Amino acid sequence: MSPGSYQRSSDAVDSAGSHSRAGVWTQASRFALRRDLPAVVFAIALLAVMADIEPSVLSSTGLDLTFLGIVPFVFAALAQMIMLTGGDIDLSLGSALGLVNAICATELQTHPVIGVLELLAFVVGYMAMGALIELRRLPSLVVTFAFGFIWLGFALVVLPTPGGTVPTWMTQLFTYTIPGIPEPLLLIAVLAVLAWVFMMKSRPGRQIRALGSRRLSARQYARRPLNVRLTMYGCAGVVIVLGGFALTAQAGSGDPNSGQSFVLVSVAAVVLGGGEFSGGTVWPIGAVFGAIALGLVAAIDSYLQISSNLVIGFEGLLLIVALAIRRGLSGLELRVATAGRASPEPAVGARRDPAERGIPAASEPGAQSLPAPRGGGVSR
Amino acid sequence: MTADSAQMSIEDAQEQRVADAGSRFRASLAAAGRYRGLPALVGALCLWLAIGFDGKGSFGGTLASATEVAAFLAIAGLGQMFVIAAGNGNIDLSVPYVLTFAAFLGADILNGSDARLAQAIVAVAVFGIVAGLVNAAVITTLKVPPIVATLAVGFIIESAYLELSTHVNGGLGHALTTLSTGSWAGVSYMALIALACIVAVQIALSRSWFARGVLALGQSHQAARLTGVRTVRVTFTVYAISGLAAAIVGLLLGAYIGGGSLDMGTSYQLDSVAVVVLGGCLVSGGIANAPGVGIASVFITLLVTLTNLLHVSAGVEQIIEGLIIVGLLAVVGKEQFSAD
Repeated sequence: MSPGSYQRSSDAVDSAGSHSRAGVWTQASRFALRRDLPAVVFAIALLAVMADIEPSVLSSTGLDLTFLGIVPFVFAALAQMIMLTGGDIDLSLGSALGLVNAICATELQTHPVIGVLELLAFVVGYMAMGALIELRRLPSLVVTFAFGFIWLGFALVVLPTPGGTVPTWMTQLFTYTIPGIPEPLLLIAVLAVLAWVFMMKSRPGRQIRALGSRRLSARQYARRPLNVRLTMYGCAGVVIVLGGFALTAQAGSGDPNSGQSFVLVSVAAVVLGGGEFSGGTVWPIGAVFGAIALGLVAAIDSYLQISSNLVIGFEGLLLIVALAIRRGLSGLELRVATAGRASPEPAVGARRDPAERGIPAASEPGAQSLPAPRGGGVSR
Repeated sequence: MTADSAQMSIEDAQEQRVADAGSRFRASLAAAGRYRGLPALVGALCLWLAIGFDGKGSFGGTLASATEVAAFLAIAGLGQMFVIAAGNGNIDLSVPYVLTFAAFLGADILNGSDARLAQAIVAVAVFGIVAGLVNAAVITTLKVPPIVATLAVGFIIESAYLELSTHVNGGLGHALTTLSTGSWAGVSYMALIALACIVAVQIALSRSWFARGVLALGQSHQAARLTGVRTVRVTFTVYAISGLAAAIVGLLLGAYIGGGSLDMGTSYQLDSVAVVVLGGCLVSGGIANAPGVGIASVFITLLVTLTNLLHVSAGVEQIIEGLIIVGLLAVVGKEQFSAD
């Protein structure tokens, strides 16, 4: 993780030119420390608690076992991160993971070609969901909720009752061991780097951040918001397919409902890791650490020997505490960020986009000084 | 010449009047078309006719049973509506947990008799309000996003009812059972209760300062605060209302199905949100519509009835339900979700 990377939204990316570079970097490094540090600290603290109770956790095998269970959490968090960054939320993620899991345990084993085609169709379905949201200007909350029914329905059609057999290559893919190195940990590290490169350095990543940051800037930046949204949902779909593989490999069988608990956890991981709920702001490394922390929370119950009835309440409590600490640490910073985000859209957007109508046009002083496409900087 | 022109002007006026009537008719049609609860109403009517013509039951019988079951969802949905109307991403996902805990709490206190009915009702109401206040406290003081905060609080409540359910064995008593299953002149008490709630809420929405504050908050947090709306107090109140509604529904639903059950609330989590959205309220807040919520509850209930009647597998049932909601959303489109 590079603390100096300025991971604010597209506005910041654009504005790099108009400020003195040194000032931006100093500010950015401070900001970076504040935004995703809590997730890192929380993850390490939980690991320390676990090691304190059960020292063998820190052995190579112990780390292997602990982090193997966390890999699906990381995938789920990364998929949700892509969606939240673009200003959407994916409530169908749990059912979608269940569908991939069901396909893996049935069709992919018996008829590999059909299984692959089904997974491709699933990704296309995700893109269709994005297209519907963009073209009809629907709230993602409702559309993804409704699509959750459809994914779960298909999962139940493919696999009516939990069971099925998992292809051996899939289990081997995730349990493959390199001597001396905890392989899941390596995989998570690679994922974190890939996520960072994708969100921060690639063109689609920049466009998704722009889309979540402001509709107008996305329009100026990408020209075709539909394409960006299709990319966004396609990428999320692919990440979910990979997450479904990890989930299947870990579970060893199929269950249409196996992904349900991931919806909340994925959102919480991104928020815990410093991402902004309203879109635009993303911290890929923080999201990965958030997923690790919440995955450890799920794992720690068995170490603390809590009554099974209390496990879920304990998880809820820890979630609140973790997010409260994160907010407490970055309270001031956040208030500034949210105030900036809540600022009204300029008139150009109001005419084109009915969803933004009713917002006073001339009340933002900087509204007229918005940059030409790809030029200048937004003054905040 | 003058007579001619007079004649002309009378004809003109008549034509004008006809045109006026035509345009007025068109305008009222357009107004009806813009009615925010329309998609749910059309959907409910189609499903009602489909089920009626299917021959499995009479039109009246279908409607009576649908409104009875929908009443529970409508009351919970009204609570959810207040929360969603307050905007700023407010949503109450703790509804199913509050509802289930309330049923077990009621059963624990009543233990099958009506001796402690008043205590049970008060305890359940207080629990619902407190649960809502805790939700609001986590959201406003700890600044946790509502979608996460209410689910996390819900999980804590789930743990509580898992513990509580291990030593509850009584039912909810005769009085509540009569209330939740009885009917008057073919209309169930539950439907009447829900109708009364809808009317009361709709009047409150247009008349009370509180509801105006909620809608103002939903339209613009900043503007509401500057106009003197006590935003924190409004947030606490909407969550308390939602908690109270969920708790009352839990008590009545528990009586309806004959005692608490661990998964009785599951469908209410997303259905309570769905009825608010399909009922024509703005998902981003600021616009609320109580009758729409009622109609959408009937729609969702009929949808479940239809899929049950079709005897399809659980999977196909889910797909049909999802596709109908998606189709409805796609048809309704942008107008429904923009504040104009």
